[in-house]
Amino acid sequence: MTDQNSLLAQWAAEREVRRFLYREAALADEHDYAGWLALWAKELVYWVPANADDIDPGRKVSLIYDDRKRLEDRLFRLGTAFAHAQRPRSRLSRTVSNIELLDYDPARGGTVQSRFLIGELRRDEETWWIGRARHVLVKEGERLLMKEKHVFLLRNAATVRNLTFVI
Amino acid sequence: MAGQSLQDTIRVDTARNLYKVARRNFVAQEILEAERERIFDRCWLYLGHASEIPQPGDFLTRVVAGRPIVFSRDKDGALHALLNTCPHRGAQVVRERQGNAKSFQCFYHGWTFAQDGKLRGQPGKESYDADFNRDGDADMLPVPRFEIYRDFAFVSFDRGASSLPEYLAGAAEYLDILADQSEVGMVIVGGTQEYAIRANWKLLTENSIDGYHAATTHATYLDYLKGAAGNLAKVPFSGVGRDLGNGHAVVEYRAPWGRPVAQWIPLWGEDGKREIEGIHARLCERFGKERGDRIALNSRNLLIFPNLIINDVMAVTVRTFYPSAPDMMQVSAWAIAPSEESDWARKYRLFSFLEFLGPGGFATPDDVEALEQCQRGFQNLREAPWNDISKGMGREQPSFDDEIQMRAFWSSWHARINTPADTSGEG
Ligand code: FES
Ligand SMILES: [Fe+2]
Repeated sequence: MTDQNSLLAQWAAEREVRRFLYREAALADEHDYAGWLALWAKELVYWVPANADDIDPGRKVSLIYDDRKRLEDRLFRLGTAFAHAQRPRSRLSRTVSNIELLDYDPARGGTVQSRFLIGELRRDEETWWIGRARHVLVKEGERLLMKEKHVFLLRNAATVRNLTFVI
Repeated sequence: MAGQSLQDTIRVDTARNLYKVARRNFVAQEILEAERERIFDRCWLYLGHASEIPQPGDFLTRVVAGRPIVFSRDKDGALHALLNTCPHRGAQVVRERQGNAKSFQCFYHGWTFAQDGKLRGQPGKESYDADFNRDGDADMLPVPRFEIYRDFAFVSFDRGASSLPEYLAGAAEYLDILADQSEVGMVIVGGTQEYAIRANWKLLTENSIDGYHAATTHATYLDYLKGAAGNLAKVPFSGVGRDLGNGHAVVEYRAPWGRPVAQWIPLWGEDGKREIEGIHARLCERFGKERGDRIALNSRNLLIFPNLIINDVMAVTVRTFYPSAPDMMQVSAWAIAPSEESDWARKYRLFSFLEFLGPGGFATPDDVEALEQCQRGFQNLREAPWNDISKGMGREQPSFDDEIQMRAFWSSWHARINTPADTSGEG
């Protein structure tokens, strides 16, 4: 017989992760860069590979491969009036689903996989960004934080449009 | 072809140093058709770099001017460019983006070919005459012209095209400057960035060699560099623009950003300094101080007409692009580096590359936006029909932020677009 408590603990962990990912999605959609940045741990990797999901970003070209400093600069730049590719800003709406806790410990965090579908509207052009995300989450005190986020685009080997919002 | 409409595409007034380009050139379908026939079907076009297929049997597939091509290395190490279509009944023979193979097999009826395109086998061979392939017409066809300059492989679909070095004219020297950055050979660092821009392809040609827009369009990038201590060398922007003949052009200039070959910035620390200074010193040893300094310290944005860009800046990018419609282009971009570069330098190079370049970079998206804004502005072309690229026209030596590069491009474009097919070899 399954232990009720462990089921409950598993459900609580899943709920915590789900709520975290939904929150992250909402902040990203709303261009709330400060709020989104606050979800990150101190040391971080924000990575969108190109061509294939399993490339070595130290040896091959990615689309985005940020450490904390680069990410802070990215968000700062997007927040100014001179990030021309985001004047006007993209209107965004994303769905996050198929959340799976892989190798995950509720007390410490771990790896989480999900799927996303992002609708982007900029002026009269609608773009769909589809893919899989892998988060490495860490528990710091009561809070979950992102340590790594890897975004595997469906179109990683096809032409993409400007990627100037938080994905 | 509507000949009349091809003539009033540029207006040049040398007395007043005015150079105007018709906005129609960026918009009209018949211009795109003329470009396909008179530019893309005739010029030398970039196919790839020899380092992308280093081993015997290596191959990759790529589309050049609308043609699917196989770029392959045979068992003896020789390079080939084949039209990726089966001589039997047309299927694309090679379907992978890249790989290594002993032979190519068309999966439809199973014909097999060597990496040089020669027919090797046909299922049911006994049903054909013994001399069936006497004239080689059952071999995969090579691209009409294929030549390599310092590992840069080019194709032309015009059998009568001049030789590649002749075509490259003054641009060859700049490929030398790049190739000489390595003693063993430059390599394409794995991976392609591919992005789409809703704008005419010529806008990207102009933008890629435009030293005039950086201070405004890329203000946030430059501020970003300035913001972090040690990101910049104490070098102000200065330099020249040059017409290299045949429509090729370059801007060559000093810039404050760090260059893996070889301009040190404080951010790279003392170890970095030793390494960068070592690279610089070695260049001076090999080529003398003047050329060594030039290779190491100058940045260069090079256009090889019509659509190959090699920008040797804080990293080196090789970029080519094709129109799918007058207002739409697809871009492919690679990074290239000396193969002997240390892991440290390679990592830094890629870091700088991504910082500036590509759809997720700090600069390229703003260029994309600028180009798309131009394309939108051109909707006013009936009332506002002309672009101006006169900057620096009266100067003996135009500066890197003048527009001589665009004039070099457009003058050649204009001449080519007005050269009908029958006067160019067998065309
Ligand atoms: S089409 Fe290739 S073997 Fe028939
Ligand atoms: Fe630019």
